[in-house]
Amino acid sequence: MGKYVNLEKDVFSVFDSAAWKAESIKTFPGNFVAMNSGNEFLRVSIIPSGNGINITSISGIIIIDIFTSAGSGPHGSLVIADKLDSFLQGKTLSTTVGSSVQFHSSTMIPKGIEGSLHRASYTIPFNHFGV
Amino acid sequence: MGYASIIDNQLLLAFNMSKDLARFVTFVKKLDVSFNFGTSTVSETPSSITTKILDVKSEKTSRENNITKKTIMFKRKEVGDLTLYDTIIDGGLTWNLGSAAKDNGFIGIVDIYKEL
Repeated sequence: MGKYVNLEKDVFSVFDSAAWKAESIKTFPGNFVAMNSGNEFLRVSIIPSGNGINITSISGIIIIDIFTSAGSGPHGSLVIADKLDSFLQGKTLSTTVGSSVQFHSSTMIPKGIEGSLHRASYTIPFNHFGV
Repeated sequence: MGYASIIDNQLLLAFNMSKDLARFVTFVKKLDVSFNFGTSTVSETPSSITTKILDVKSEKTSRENNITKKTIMFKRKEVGDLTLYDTIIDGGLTWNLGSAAKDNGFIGIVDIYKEL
């Protein structure tokens, strides 16, 4: 596989893990319309928009939109952000030989209320290394 | 008989009285749609409903691609809730649903799309 699919596999392996599923936070990728998502869920988007150290590597950011109930204050989204940090921040993941992704330090931006939900964007830069 | 039942019955009559203006199509509803992060695939369970629809309008656009769009009217009680994953088979051709559907509890109106 190419660098983009390898990157996707490495990142999605986090959300396919038993440890993440045990958190019971509904998680969906971008370009997927969630059904029965409830009032607390995540949407994961991979933005591989930067150069890598070679032609099989790439850098970029992962944006994870955190949706919580509108009007419930910031605490819920911050708790989820801390959980995401424990799975991503500073971690190096690899699911394919010759491919790995390294996450750096995360940031959070509250985006405001959308309908009955509040959206905050959790962002974490990454470097993907391929050989 | 309550008002809702009377309206549904009259609606059924209206679709039948439309004769050849109304036609049978198959709504293929996708149930239990989920995403598997391990395989990066969407899984779904299809379920078909054949019912009559009426065309409200039709238009074609050419921008990045050529798309034909129809607005159709259907009986809400027979079809139920629609999602982006559902499709409509009309005359052997598969149409995709748009992201917005309107209904008043009795009549549903939705845009359907097909690439030319």
